Amino acid sequence: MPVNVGLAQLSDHFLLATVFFYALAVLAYAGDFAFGRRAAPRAGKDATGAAPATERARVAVAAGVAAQAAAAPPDNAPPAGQAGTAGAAVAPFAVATGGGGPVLAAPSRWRAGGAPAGPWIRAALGLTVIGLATQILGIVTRGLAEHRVPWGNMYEFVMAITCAAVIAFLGLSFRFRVYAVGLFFMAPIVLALGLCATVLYTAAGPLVPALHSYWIWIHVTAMTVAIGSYIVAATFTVLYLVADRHARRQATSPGAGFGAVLDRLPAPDALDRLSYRTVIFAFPIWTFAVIAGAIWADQAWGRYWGWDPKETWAFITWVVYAGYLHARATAGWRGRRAAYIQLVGFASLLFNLVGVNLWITGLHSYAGIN
Amino acid sequence: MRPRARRAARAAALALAGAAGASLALGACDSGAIGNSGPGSNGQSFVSGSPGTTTYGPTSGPAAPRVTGTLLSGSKFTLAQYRGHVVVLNFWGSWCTPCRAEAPFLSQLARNFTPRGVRFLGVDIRDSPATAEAFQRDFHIVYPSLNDPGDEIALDFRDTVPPAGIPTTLVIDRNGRIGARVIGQVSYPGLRGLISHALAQPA
Amino acid sequence: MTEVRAPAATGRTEPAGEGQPPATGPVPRRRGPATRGPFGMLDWARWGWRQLTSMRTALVLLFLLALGSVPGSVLPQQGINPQAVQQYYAAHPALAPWLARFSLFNVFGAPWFAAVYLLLFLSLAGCVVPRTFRLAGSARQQPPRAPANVSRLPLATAMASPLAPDAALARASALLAGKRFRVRTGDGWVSAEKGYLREAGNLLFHLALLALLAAVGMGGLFGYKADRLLVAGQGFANTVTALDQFRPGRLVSAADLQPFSIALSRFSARYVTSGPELGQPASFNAYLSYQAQPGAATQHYDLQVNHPLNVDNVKVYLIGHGYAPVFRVTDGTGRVVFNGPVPFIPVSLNGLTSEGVVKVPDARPQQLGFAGVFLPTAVDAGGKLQSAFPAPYRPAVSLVSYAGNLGMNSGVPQSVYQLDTAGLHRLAVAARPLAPGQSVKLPGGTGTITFTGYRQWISLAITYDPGQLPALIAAIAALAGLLVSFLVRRRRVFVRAAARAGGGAAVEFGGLARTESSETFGAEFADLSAELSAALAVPEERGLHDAVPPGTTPSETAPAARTVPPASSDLPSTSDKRE
Repeated sequence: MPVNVGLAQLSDHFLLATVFFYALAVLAYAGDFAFGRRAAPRAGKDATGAAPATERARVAVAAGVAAQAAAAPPDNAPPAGQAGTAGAAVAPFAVATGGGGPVLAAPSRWRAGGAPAGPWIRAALGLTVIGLATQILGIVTRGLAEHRVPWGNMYEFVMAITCAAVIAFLGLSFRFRVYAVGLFFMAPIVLALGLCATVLYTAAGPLVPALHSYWIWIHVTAMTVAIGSYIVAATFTVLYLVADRHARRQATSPGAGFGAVLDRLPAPDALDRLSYRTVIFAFPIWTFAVIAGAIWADQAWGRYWGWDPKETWAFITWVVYAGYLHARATAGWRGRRAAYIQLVGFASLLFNLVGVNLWITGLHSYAGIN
Repeated sequence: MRPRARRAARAAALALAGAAGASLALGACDSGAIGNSGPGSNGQSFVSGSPGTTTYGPTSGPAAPRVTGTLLSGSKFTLAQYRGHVVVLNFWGSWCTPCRAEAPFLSQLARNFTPRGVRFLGVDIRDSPATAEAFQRDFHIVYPSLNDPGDEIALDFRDTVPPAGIPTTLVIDRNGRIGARVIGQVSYPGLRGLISHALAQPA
Repeated sequence: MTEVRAPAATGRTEPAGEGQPPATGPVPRRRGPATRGPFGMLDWARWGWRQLTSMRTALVLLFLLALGSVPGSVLPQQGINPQAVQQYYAAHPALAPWLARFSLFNVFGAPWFAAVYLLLFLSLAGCVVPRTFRLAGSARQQPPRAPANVSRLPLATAMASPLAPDAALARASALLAGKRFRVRTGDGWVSAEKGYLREAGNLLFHLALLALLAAVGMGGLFGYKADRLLVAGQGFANTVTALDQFRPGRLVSAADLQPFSIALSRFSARYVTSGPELGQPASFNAYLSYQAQPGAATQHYDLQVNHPLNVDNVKVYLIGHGYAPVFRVTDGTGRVVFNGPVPFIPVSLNGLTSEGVVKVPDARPQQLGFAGVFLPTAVDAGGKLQSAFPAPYRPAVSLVSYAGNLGMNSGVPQSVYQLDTAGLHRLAVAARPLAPGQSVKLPGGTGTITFTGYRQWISLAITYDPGQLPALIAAIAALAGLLVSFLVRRRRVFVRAAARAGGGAAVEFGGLARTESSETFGAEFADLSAELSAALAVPEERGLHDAVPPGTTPSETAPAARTVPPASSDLPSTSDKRE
């Protein structure tokens, strides 16, 4: 069936719209940094008064100090009357009402500043969501135009990966409210999409016969989700390293460096754990994607593993991320060292995605670019 | 964990890993008993096999299978027609350079031994009849050859002494048992010795 | 050893003995010179084993494995693309032999690569197998005793109950047992643990990796790979003489080949005829007829890329295709000395221009050789002949003719796709492309060559891998084990009840997640304590069904739930070894 040119053009327009909205979102995130309200008031006896204490506690914990500090304000709440025959235990996570009752604890560990999202952040998130919608529409219309699944060459693949990454990031930022990370995450996404629209652009067309298989739904989709998640994890790791170095510098010489920007980041420990949790999510998917790829390779090329460059680099990436998970469980390797290992894994992933397609010829050369 | 149990577990671990690893290490090298024609190593597009001669005792050699086919001339043929004779069966192709190198030897040996009751038979692989006949003219091959485009004759031998490359020469004694297999180009004295040995066997 | 550690201890980094358990309990002293005389061979072996199975060594080996794979993807590999290896030798004549010395053109079969993964799997086995034994042994292991001070746990709450302490504990333990916790009761306390599957999942994953290795090895030993190029109208049987390439496993002999035969009736390729993808292949169909054994019924199959033929547990794949022009050569004596298709190899993807060689060694008086180019759709592009489209709309062959000595009679192997012109002289023939049916008369009475037509050929990959299915099962088992070990959290809860002044019991309820999961465990703990308080709120006479819902009575205060993150991560840490 021939390509539906009208839909293909519509898809291109949606891509441009996506870049536009994401770029605006980046500006809005930057605006929040520049003009937005600072993090939640540290001193205060209002409803959120306990939260900053847990923030302090969280930072302190990262340095290994016990969390008695976190216990201090809530313990101040005087015990209400012990009367009552049928006492019911209060769930330990009720919101503090000044003067009694336990405190909101666990989820707020992850919250960036404790404060609800300011207007800049809300604008940025809104723009991101709109951009995501146009991106999804762009992918769908491309698939409809070509009458096939819309990931068959490098251009479409990068579109899909960035889409998955943005979805993962939005999910995490809504769940854990790490909005401040948005700037550092969306900027590379905008760059990648810009590259997509210019250098990587390929006109809509059919798949080569080797890709005519239902496995493209399974293997490539899994790879897309995994790579998108790894991108998010790498962002968090880079920020963790930066925030961690900043925190150490602050400990020795307060006020030095990019204090204004970096103070707004979540605590290093939180970033590290977010990154770890994302890798925990992505690693089984990557494993599954490699296995699915091996099954498909067996059907198409006659062997399930042939050390094709793409297969080899997928293997290398898997091994390095496995090393990261092991390092996280080993004394002396947690923290910065594990973070570096993860970044090595991410670098090999980028090489797998870009370098192998463009510079090394093998059976996997479906880039569509000459 | 108690010390003895720990030692047992450790030994089990060692054995398990060793077995897994050894099997992989052995399997990773893929040159087998047949011989390795590496992909594109010489572009000759056929498997030459690791050269060598295998001989069997007069009673231990497997019985030659039923072989039927069509000669290059077009007439039907079956190996049973040669029962009671020593038979030299040679798998060849005109495109195969070792086959061309040994063809003069086979031609000469055929001329020498046919009067003594030895029958020579060729099995031609992947040749058109015109090309095969040109080869036979060129090397003065007077014995017939079966045309085997579908490799049926090679299949017939799979349970006994399969031809493990091109060229392969089999010597079958008077009782229909395979006495020797030569993989690769035969040498004149070598094949002559095998034929003489087969001739010397009592029927 | 399994007692709850004080929260402060978990935040501390462990002492510098990496890979060793934290010093929170009695550490068995290692044998060494200070304790038992000279350090013998056995002690060295033990030290070596301990080093090998430590996590740090595993990390180093993992990285070596990853690093070692890098040259295997960047440099051309002998087993994948030998022509590229030869080109590399030509391009880097000084460097290439040095690289070959370190097996860098065959990385994945190199001894050093094998050493890395063998050591890695040895380390893996040495770590995992004892833990499997331990897991089996601890399948019935009870949760630890409740700590003396439950309220000091990271998550803790207190509640009051009208029930007597023993009754309260009984009800708590019933509730926890109902939630599939493993419960242990004691004097004034109840301890419950859940999530043992996690270790099982972790071990399953690692053992499955070992099984995968074994399966791959088995395939390499007992399996084989072969290639065969098949022209339409031809057939072949799966014997060594019929194959173009044969790469057997170590334990495979010619007699082990499955005796199927395959014939190609017709091959059809469709190409995109319009749009920007003009000339791209759209579909390939190879119509085969095959027999699983000699004498079996003939079956038919439409072989396509991504749709291999499975015959007698052997898989046959469509790898490539091309054109085989058919030639008839008459030699100087007037006899037909060659008549058949000659496979030409595609040299360009656009238009499928193909090159090949016709060797006629039995022509008289001189041997003849021809180097040819086949153009499926021949067009004249600025004086140069090119093929505009891969389908045979206007086929043409252009030949260069030679006569002399082809060099085939010496027995030295030659490529069937290349002409060794050392002993040949070129014949002076007008360079005119031939359409089907046309012929060229060679000068000097050496003969005639006629381009009678063309056929298509396919190249097949034949693979037999008995380890393939076990490898797949092992991979799926590894994935399952991975998911279980990531999703299942190990957590413990404790209940202490003491008699209260004024009747009833003061109940403390605390919990600890042994892995980084305070998020989900926090929510689970909240639910548990709500249910527990509901269960304990009901006096015995009324029974549980009339329980007063929580929140309707004045609340008891409770110490704050603290959220100290345990420093142990999601993977079982080395400290697990000491349980």
